[in-house]
Formats: sequence, C-alpha cells, structure tokens
Amino acid sequence: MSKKLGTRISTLLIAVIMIFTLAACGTKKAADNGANMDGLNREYVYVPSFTPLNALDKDSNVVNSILKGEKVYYSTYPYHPEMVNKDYTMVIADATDLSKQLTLDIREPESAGFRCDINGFQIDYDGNFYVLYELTAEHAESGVYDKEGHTTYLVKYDNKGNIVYEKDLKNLFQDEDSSYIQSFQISKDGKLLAACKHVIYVIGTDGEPQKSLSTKVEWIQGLIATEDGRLFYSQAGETGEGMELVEIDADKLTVGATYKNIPEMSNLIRGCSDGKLLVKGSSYLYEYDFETQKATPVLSWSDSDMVGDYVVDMMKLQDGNFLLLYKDRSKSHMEIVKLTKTKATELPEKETIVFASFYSATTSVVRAIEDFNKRSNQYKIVSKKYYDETKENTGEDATDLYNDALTLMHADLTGDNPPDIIDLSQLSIYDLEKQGVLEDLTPYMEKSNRLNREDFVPGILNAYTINDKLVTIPRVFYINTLMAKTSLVGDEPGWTLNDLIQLADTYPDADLFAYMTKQDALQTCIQYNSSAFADYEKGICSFNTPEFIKVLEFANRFEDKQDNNGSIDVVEEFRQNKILLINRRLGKVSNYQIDMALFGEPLTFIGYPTLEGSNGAFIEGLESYGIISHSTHKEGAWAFLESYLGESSDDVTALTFFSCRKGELEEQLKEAMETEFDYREMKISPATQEQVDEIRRLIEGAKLPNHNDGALLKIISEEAESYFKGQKSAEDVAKIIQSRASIYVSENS
Amino acid sequence: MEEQKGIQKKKLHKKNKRIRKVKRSSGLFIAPSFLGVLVFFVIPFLVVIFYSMVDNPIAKNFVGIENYKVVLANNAFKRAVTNTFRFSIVAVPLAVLLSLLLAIMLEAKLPFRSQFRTFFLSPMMVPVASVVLIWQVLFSYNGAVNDLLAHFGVDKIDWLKSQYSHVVIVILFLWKNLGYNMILFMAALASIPKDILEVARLESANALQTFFYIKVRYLSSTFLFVTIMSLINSFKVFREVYMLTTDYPYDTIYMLQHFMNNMFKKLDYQKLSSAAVLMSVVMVVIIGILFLTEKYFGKDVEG
Repeated sequence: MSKKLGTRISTLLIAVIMIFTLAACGTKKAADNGANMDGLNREYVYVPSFTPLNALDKDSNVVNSILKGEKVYYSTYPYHPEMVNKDYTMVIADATDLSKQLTLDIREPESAGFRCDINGFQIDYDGNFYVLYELTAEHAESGVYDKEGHTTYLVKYDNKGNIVYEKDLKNLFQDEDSSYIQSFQISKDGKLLAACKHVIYVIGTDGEPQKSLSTKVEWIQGLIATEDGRLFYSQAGETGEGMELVEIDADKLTVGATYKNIPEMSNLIRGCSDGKLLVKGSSYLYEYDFETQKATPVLSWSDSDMVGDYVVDMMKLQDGNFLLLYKDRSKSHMEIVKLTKTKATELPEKETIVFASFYSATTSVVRAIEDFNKRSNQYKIVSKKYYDETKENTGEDATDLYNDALTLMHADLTGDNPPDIIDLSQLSIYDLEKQGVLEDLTPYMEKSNRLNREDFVPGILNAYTINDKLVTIPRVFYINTLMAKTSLVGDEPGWTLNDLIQLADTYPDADLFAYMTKQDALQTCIQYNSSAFADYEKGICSFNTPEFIKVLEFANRFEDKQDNNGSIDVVEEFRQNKILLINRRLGKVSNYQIDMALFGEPLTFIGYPTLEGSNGAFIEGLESYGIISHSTHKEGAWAFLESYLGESSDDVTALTFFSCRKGELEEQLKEAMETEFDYREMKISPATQEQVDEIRRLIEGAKLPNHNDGALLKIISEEAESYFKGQKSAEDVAKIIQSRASIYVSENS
Repeated sequence: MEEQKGIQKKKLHKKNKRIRKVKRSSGLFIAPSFLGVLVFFVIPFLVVIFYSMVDNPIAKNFVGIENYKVVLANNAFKRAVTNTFRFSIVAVPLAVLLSLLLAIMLEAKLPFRSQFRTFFLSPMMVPVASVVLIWQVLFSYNGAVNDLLAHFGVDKIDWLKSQYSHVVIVILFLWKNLGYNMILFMAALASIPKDILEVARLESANALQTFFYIKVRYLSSTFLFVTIMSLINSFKVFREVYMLTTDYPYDTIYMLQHFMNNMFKKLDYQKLSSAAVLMSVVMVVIIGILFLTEKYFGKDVEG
C-alpha cells in the first residue's frame, strides 16, 4: 500500500514539475520585462532636459568642450571656410544657467602657412586652463604624418585668459612617427601629463618637459584624473574585452595598482566626488567602484532617449543627477543635458511603437527616431532588427543566418503582436502587399493636418500605390536611367533591346559603357526588361528562344572583368563615340549639369531598353517605411511617419537625392537654377530652365521597377557565367535558364 | 436470493470501480505523451489547415478551398509533385531492396563484415553540409566524375543541371540512407526464430525458398517500417538538393519542399499550407496502403 502511495506521490510530483516547466514557457511578464535582463533597476529613470549650448553667434562653431565643477568650458570661433587664423574664444559658463558666462579671447599660436586647430584643453584646480594646439602645414596631405609639417603647442592661460606660457612641444616626443597627443590631464600640483602612443610625458608647472614614462602597452587609451587627484592611464583589457586602469604616481612617475573590469572600450571616463568613476558605454552609463573593481550600470541611454555616442562629457552632480554635454550629429549645435532621477511611476506612460528592420536601419531614420522620442509625450519608438550582421564573423553560415532572420520576421509579421512600422529596404514590397502586411496610407494622409497628397511628387505616390493601396512613401529618390548623345539616339526617350544592339553594331569599335563586363551588359539588357521574356500573368517564360540567345551572345562581346589597370578617360571617350552610353543615377540636378558641361552637346536620357520601347527610366525610392496592417498602434506609427516625412530639411542642398516632397524638390530645382559651383577645374553655371524641365520630364515619366525580378536576374547571371567562360554553348545555357526560370515564373504567377 | 443479488451487485460495482480506476491511471500515464502530440503535432497541423483556408496570413478571411484550387492549378506545384513522386517511386524501392540485399550479404560469413558495415553506416555520421560538398566536388561541371569520364572520351555532362540531375539525387539518397535501412534489416533477420529455419533446412528447402517463404514473411513489419521511413526521407531529400542547387534548381529536381520553402520566403502561407495539407493527405493514403499490404502478407506470422 505504502509502495503504491509512494508511486502515486512521485507521479503527481513529476506531473506538477512538468506543468510548471510548461507554464514557464509562457511567462509573459518575464518576456515583457526583457529590459530588466540587463540588471538595471528601472524603478527610477533619468529624465533628460536639453538646453542648446549656443556659440557666440549663429555662424560660430563650438569645439572642444568640457564640464568641470558644474561649469562648462568650450572654445568657439567664427566659421569661415578659408580662415587659417580662427580667433578662438573661450567661454566659461555656469552649466545650470548658461546666461552666466565669461568669454575670454585667447590668442592662438601663429605660424605662417600653418593651420591651427585645438586638440583639447584642461582646467586645473586653480581655474587656469591649458590648451593644446595642433599646427599643420596647409600643404600637408591628409592622413599622412609629416614631421616638418606638424607641431603641437601647449599654451597655459590664467583664469582671465592671459597667456602664462606658450611652448612648442615639437622636441618633446621621443617617437619619430607621431607627435599627436591622444590624451592629457593636469595633476593636483599643476603638472601636465600627456600620453603619446605608449609614452606618458610630464611637463612641469613652468611648461618645461620633465621626464617620461614608457608603459608596457602599445597604445594608451586615455588619461583619467579623479576629483581627489588620483591619476590613471587606461589600456585594453587582458582578454581583449573592456579596459583596465593603471594608477600613476605623477611625482615619482611610477605605475601602481591595476584596476580591471571596465566594461567597454570607453573613450570617456570621469571621476566623481564620491571616489567612484563614471564610465560612458555605448548603451549604458556605468559607475565603477575601485574597491570591488566592478562596474554597475546606472542608466540606459535609450531609456533616456539619448545616444551614448553623442555624449561628449559628463559629470555627477551633488544631488545624484547627471550633467552632460551632448552633440547630436544631426544638429549643428551642442546641448547641455541635465538627467534628473525620477520615479518611473511618476512619468507619463508612453505607448511603445516597434520599428522593425531586416538589416540595420539607416542613420537618418535612427536619428529621426531619437528626435521623435525626445519630442513625443505620447509615443516611444523602439527599434528591432532581425538579421544580426555581427554573427557573420562568428563563422555561422550566412544562408542559415538569413533564413533564421527571415523566419523570425515572418513569425513576427503574422503573429498577434507584430511590429508597427517596417523598414522596406531590401524587402519585396509586392510580396508584403500581396499578403496584406502593409496598411494603406491614403486614409491617414487624408486625415492629416501636416501631410497632403499634393505635397508629394505625383509620380512617387503613383509608383508606390499597389492594387490601389499606397503602401509607403519614400523620403528621397533617384532615377536610374541610361544616357546617350542625342546625335546617336535621337531626343525621345525609350528604346527596345534591338535598338540597343543595333547601336552597338553601328559602332563596332566602341564600348557600350566604360569598364563594362559581360555580366554588366547582360544586366543592362535584362534588368528592367524581364517582361520581354517572362509573363508572370500566364506563368510562362521564353529564355530558350533565339531572342534571348542573341542577348547572351551580345553580352559575350564584352570583357570578362573590369580592366582596372588602365584608367579610361570616360569623358573623352564618350565625346569621341568610343563609349556610347552612361549609366546615370540621377539624384540631383547637379549630376545633369555636370554631364552637360563635360560633354558639351545635347544628351538624351534614353533609359533602359524595354519590350515595347517605352521610357526605361526607373524610380528607386530610398528610406521607405510602411505601417503593419494589423498593428495595434497604427496611430502612433503614422505619427512617426508623419513627423519623419513632414520634417523639412534645414538645407535642401544637404539632401543627397531628390526629395519626395514637392516643395523641397522645387526648392532643390530652384537652388540648382541659382547656384554656380565648381567641378574639378570647371565652373558649372546655374542650371537652365531647359535642364530643369528635362529633369521634371524624367521624373514624371519614370516607373517603379519590378522588384520581384531579383531572383530571376540571379538565375540568369549564375547560368550565363558558364557561357561567358566558354564552358557551355549559349543554347545550352539558355535551356538551363529556361528550366530554372520557368519554375520561378510559375511560382509567382 | 436477494442477498445473492446484493453480493453480485456489490461485486459488479467493485469490478466497475476497478475498471474506472485502471482507466483513470492509464489516462494519467498517457497524458504527457498525448499532451506532447497535441501541442507539437495536432495543434500545428490544425493551424496549417486553418492557414490553407484563409486569404492571407494577416487578414485571415475564410476562403474555403480556394487556395487548394490555386495550388492545384499552379504549374510549379504540379512540377514539384511530379518530381517528388517520380523520385520516391524510384528511390524508395531501391533503398528498401538494396539495403535488404546488403543485410543478407553481411549476414553471410563474409570477410571484413564489420568493416563493410561501418562503411555503409558512415554516411549517417557525416553532416549534410559535408555530404553536399563531396557531391559538388564529384558532380559539378568541372568535377571529378567528368574528369574521370574524360579519360574514356566521354563529353562533359552537367550532372546537376540536366536530365541526369535526377539520377544524382537518387544516388545521393541511397548513399545516405542505405546504412540505416541495412541495420534494421540485419536486426530483423537476426530475430527470425532459428528453429523455423532449421525445420526448413531439414525439409530440404533451398535458400531461395527459405528466403521467400520464411524470411520475407517474418520481415514484413520491418519492410513496412523501412518503406515508411524511406518514403519520409525521400520527401526530405530537399535539404540536400537545396544545398546543392539553391531554391530554384533545374526543373527535374524541383521538389515539393522547394515549393513550400519558396512560398514561406514570400510569406505566402496559404499556398504553403495548402500544399502541405495535400502532401500529408497523399502520405496518409500511401502509408495506409502500406499498412494494409503488411497486414495481408504478415497476417500468419507470429508476434
């Protein structure tokens, strides 16, 4: 009986354990609180308040800034592109009230023919400041060290801006290869310690070099001073991860204890009044305790809607809050940020919008997300990426990585908790639309106070309207087309494959393009012309026909590989009809202006060959994002897209492609008609009305390419290679292409 | 009388109680397995059936058998079905017969028996990626097989991109699966009762008679198992083909799983699911026929 009872109890126990194990799989709370997996206590959050640190006037630049004793020190100079003498001004402002500031005109070292830049500066305990100037000969080649053409000046100023001493440090350095100081600090007794490669040099209070310490490392990462006067140099960690700090005795110039476990290769480490260190990591701000040699994350930059890389300097205030100098790369000015510790429960709850991308998102959208997060009181966007590029270096199979990422993305897109916005770069918009993944943006635009259909270039919205659904609106675009002399192809755009071959036959000694290979020629003929051989509606294709064999034979006329040894003067060869076509990715009017100026005769955007000989110019939209149709935060997702697309660029000339917004595009065109610029040694006159009209005509006539053709082009290119190598006949290759392509076309019918 | 009835009733009640108890405890023991099968097989299969009847994986509007019609009309699907069945019809019988032949050979007292056994089992230990690499070296256009044939004046053959590709895949399948099947047959042959074989010998039955009238009958359940496993593996040959020739191979080796894999990449769950359901229906029918055959041939065998 007791044995039976024991069996029952153990069975019950096993069952209970199994149930608990299974139950653990679905612990939503644990999954939702994934953010806590980093060990950060999120009971409190650091809320940022941003104050712009304006230079003296709007045309001035802020350079080299530091925080010290709740004061911000920064140097500034009026911007002028050709100015050699920069007339630096040092500004010392109260970090909590920037209006309380002292400006000191500091005289920089002068040396004829040398450009002067500030390498950095430090403040000592008495308020004197030390500025390191780099003087580089104006003729010096960028990135090449030229001993004669470079020198470093150390200038000490008192707290009124008067020069105490000025020293040329040229002869200080033992190393012949470099005289660039990567970091320097001031000791409590006013000595200056400078690190150059693996050596630390000590300069006395009179500015005279005293002695040097050659460390065992190849490269000193930086010098660090704590508020109580301890000095350290940092070096890469033993295991190759993180860093270590080595204490230095500035008087005896000996090394002391080594402190390990600095979590990252941080370029910013500051001492606090409590004897601890603040370490800026890429994702977290850490506090490092010398006693335990342990770094603890204090805050996550993303929790505070900030980017770690943008933090220039930092300090811990007496009340436990933080003060930062912050340089957002998308902005022209620096900012002072106060991070105030706030109970998470006191903060207004923001709706989380998930922005998903297959590969890494572009820098511009990352910045737009940061900006949106900073401004929005209602929404917070978090990014999610499916493909982890870093794993490519770990030896994992790239195909497996891609397939895993794709599976993950599909599971997300079809699941009950999908992302809200999807980055459509390198994804098939057609497939996603066909499967109902993308939301129609038209109703949102109709309701929007900020965006109107009329605000956008009409061709763009039409191009991205698939099955009556506006699936995305790209931010910028370019036109992909072919350009030829009007005298060769006439002035009307559009031609067929036979026309192209005929042109090549008319000029048998000419190359179709510069540096053109067999594969390039094949791509040119097929890239936007697959409909000549594949009918997706009927699910049939005809690659084993004489027409396609003719294309293969035509492509085979060209070179196997690009001849990189001899450089071709494309302009001259094009002028002399030795090169017949130029591939143009037109993203700016200036591209066309330069062509017109270079070739000096009428040009036609003839386009890629198409089946029916229509205009073969194609729109390639960039920075396209869509809203997921079954997202539960569609309003928030639209709020971001509205803000992203509605944000006017401060400077349209800074846009590297045509803007999809009509107003901005018009501004770009207008700007082109007003601006003269230099190209190589030519003065390019402002664009003429005819040139601008031609660009307009090109944009209006351009179509959206069929992105479904990627796999088809891959099959053709793979198989054609064996014909180009002479291993198989064109007929055999055409037969294989037909076999493989027929499956692809049938699948997509 | 009444008392007897009462005792009988009591006994019956006790018996029923015991049966209920046994049923309860059996249910409890079977529950974990049942749960596993339910969670990992039954529910996912129901999900697949659900997806095969909706318009797309997002809106999930019911469309009945529309997707089945679309899939059945699709030329790529038809091609995949034809290729897969053509492959299975050739490869599965070969896998069963050749492995049986090998098992019989190795059962005889041959020299180097264990070395042969190891040789045939070794493909099981080689990872698929390496298998594919070896096959590429052998059968690529500039591969070892063509080099060898060139010595005999034979022109180069594009093994993986011609009608021969089917043959290459069959050889690859046999090379990979013969060892496992062979072990199963060897185990089955070893378990045939020795006294029956002894009686047959005493009755002057020759080797062929012993084989067909005794061994084959005793091997019937193993035949069934090996055939089912080979059939399932033949449907899984996609993995090797995919690694050899990527997602759009020469049309003769485009398998059902190519179709499904490509549909998955396009997020076309409805076509993928319809194809999967159709495939599983056909599999069930084939396996059912195999069971009936085994039942018919193995009905008078003990055990």
